[in-house]
Amino acid sequence: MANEAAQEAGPKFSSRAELKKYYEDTYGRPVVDALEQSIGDRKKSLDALSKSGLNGKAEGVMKEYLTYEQEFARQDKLNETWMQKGWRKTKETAGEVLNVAAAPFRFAWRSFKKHPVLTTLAVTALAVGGVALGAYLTGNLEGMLSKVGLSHLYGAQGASEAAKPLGKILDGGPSLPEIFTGSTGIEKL
Amino acid sequence: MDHPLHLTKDEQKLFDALSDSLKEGWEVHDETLTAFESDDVLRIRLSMARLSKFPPTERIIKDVQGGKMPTPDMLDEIPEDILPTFFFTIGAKGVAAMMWILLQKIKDDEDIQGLAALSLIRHDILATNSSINYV
Repeated sequence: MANEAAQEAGPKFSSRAELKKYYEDTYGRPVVDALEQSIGDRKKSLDALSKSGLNGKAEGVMKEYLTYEQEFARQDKLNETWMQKGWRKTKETAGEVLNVAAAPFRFAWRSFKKHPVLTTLAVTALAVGGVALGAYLTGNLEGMLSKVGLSHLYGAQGASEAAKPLGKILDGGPSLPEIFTGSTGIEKL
Repeated sequence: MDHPLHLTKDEQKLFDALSDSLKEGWEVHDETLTAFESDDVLRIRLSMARLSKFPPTERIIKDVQGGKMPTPDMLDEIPEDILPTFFFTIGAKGVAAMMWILLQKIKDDEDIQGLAALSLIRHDILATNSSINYV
């Protein structure tokens, strides 16, 4: 599938164990040991990586590794926050333990179902993630949808609104907030 | 209402333009956190989540790639336990995009309830982003 091709470019890790295994298989155990130090002591880690045969790649490898570690840590913390607030909880039904999402997530999801433009974007986001939304706001949704095999959405009856840059949804609509200006990163997918 | 809205100054301008009857009873707080994700971070979150790999999601994406238009029924098929992962994956930046669109579509109190929920979700993501920085 086109979205598979878009998403599968480059290594992907859904857990810390997968992350470490990939680096160990690719670069060897000494590199993983050095990378594990990088959260606490970046310079020491970089020195060790430079001596481990990575040469000019050490900084790039460390940055990618650190970004993954950072995002796993953020996800853990956010899940804990939402669990404490009761937004994520488990319930037992007929002997089966289920994870359920509470009100804020349900209210937000209801809004997505109510407005066709948000429905389209939510489905697109499921396919290609957050970068799709940046592409939408900066007017590159057509290119993004084409990349993931959803180009028929662009210009189809009822979806043409979804393909317009946001500022054009309403005539004289407000300019985009600063966070959405600049590169959307879709070329990197 | 149970929860206030956490809106940026730009968003407050749109909210302020709503009718008084729509705004009645809603408290607005300034969203001052700015730790929005870079595109690299969003790509990494996407690869961590692999949302398209969940069976219902995979089927929906196939249907849409096959020519179907996205419908609310499709979103009903998404299991609730995916939603926190969905919002983490699209990030504060993605949630802000949805909020910016919703702000221009608001017609009733239910819409504002949705906006408030999104603003709370975004606030927590921003707070988490700003509290953990390795790069």
